Amino acid sequence: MKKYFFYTYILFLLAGLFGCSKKDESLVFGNAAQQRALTDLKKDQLLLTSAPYGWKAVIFPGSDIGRGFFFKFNDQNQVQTYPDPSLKLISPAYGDPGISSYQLKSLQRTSLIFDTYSSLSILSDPQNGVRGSGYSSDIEFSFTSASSDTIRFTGNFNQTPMTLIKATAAEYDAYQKDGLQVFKTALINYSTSIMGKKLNLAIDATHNPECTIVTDKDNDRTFTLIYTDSKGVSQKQTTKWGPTVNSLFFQTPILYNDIVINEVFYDTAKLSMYIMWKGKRYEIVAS
Amino acid sequence: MKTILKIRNIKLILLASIAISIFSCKKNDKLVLQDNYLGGEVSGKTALDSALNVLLVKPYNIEVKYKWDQSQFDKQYTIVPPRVDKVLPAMTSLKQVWIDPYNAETGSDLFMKTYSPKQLILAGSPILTKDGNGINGLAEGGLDILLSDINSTDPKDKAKVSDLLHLIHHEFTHILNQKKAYTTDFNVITPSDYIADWYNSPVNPLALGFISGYARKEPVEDFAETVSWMLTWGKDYYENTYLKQSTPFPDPALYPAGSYYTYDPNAGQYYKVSDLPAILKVYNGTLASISPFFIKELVKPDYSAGVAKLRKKEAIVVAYFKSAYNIDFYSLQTNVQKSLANATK
Repeated sequence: MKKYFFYTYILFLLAGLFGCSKKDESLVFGNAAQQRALTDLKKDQLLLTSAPYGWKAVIFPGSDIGRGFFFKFNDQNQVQTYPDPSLKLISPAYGDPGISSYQLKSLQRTSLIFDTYSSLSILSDPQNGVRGSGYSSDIEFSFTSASSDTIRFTGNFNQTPMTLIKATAAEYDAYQKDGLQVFKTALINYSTSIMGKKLNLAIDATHNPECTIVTDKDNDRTFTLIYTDSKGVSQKQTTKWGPTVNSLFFQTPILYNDIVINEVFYDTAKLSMYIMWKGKRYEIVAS
Repeated sequence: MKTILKIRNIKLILLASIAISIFSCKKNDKLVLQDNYLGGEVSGKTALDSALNVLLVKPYNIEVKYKWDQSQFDKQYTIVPPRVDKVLPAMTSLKQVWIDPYNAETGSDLFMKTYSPKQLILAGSPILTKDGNGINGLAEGGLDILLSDINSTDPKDKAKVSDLLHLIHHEFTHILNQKKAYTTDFNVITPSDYIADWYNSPVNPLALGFISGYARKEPVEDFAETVSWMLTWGKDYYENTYLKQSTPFPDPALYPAGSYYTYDPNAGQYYKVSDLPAILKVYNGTLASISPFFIKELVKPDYSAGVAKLRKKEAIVVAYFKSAYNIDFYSLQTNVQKSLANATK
């Protein structure tokens, strides 16, 4: 019996000696998954906070017209918001510019979350719009694509499309000076001035498709382009738009021949609309 | 087995080696946790976080989750987070009307340190269900309480603070029940009057022995409603107003439910559905123009059967607080009313 105890001791000794053998495993991707996710989050946050003059934003809730916002994110997770002035009609108490918080989080995809109430929440608030579901909007968005000056998001709950476009110093200044309200008024005047007239996008002598711009005056916000394509078939493209401080930004770009139209600008001096393509300006002529 | 050393010595050496090998493994490296191992989020700290830390986290280990986290909420509802400026005032009132009275009643903060839920999850909007009702709060697993509609709270408005008081005491009663069960005798006082669509019932809950319409949903809600309304109303309103209500209504023998409309129940003014066209013809905005139509055959309701049942429930509630937590419920009720008066002063 004693003999077996002896072997038991040997066994314990071996276990003790080899039990703590440690070999550092090197990770295939360099860092732990959590750290890599965090690095990505930091990168995305940097993208948002690095815009020195903030972001122009347009959002297209499921049961609402396109809305314009302006966001300026800082590295303390606070965001300054300038909302579409028409939101004050829905929520007089909360429709003012203000500061709220945001966070970035690794959910299914990296998500931007407006995590406390802001004027953006008005569109999701179940007490507004359709009772119980608001305007089918979102406060939590996944990054769908990002270039250096445009980020496209999709809402996590209602798949609301939202686009952020880097603002210039002049635009930031305009937003701070109630620019969205000024632009809204200008658009109402514009839509009065074109009443009964035909709008054509003048590209050249043979290309001048017809446009329809519906502005706030009719409480809808859409842009339509009608033209006959190269096969002689009549085409019609319609998109919702949301206001920035100087343009109507489209929910989906309109393609005309090889021209991609993302937004229609308003010229406050000439009181007319135009598009930009490859650095050149093309007028929308009212006649 | 011939060896130079005796077996005994070998055994000693082996034991010493084992001892050495065991302790030689000791590592002094500090355990480094991953920066964040659940989701990985980047979020800042604000003055509000520090204030909440002092108010609830440090003394009671209650975390206030006010930032949006979809995973805390049922995805069938559309909900938005609270406004930052509403959080601290609401939580301050909440502590005053919920934690303070229990502290005063039990003589220390030990009770709340032990039994309080560990998370309060806040939503800014109400939670609206498809049938048009709202959910004001939820208590889950004794661990967390969800409070909605924080954006409409107002620390100086007695009615709003009372709403919050009712909500938190209702949910906290669930937590207490989840920790220590109440006697099932409670469930058999009004066994056949629990209904899922309680909100469609036109019957006065008191007539059936309930403290509120929602209490008819199921026994656990009944228990929580009985506790929370008694605390919210205080003894005076409960005894002298709720239990003594006796607004007259049309004699059911002559006017079955649905055959009349209510004009002003407190004044005992009802009129027949069939009279509506005639009323619309003569109505000129004055009471005199329609008063001839008011139903005269009114009866005083007799709620004594309901009151007796509610008294039985009340007795079980009082006994439960005494036996489970050694708390005098009526004294707690007085303390809650004192705190409510102080909070909204």
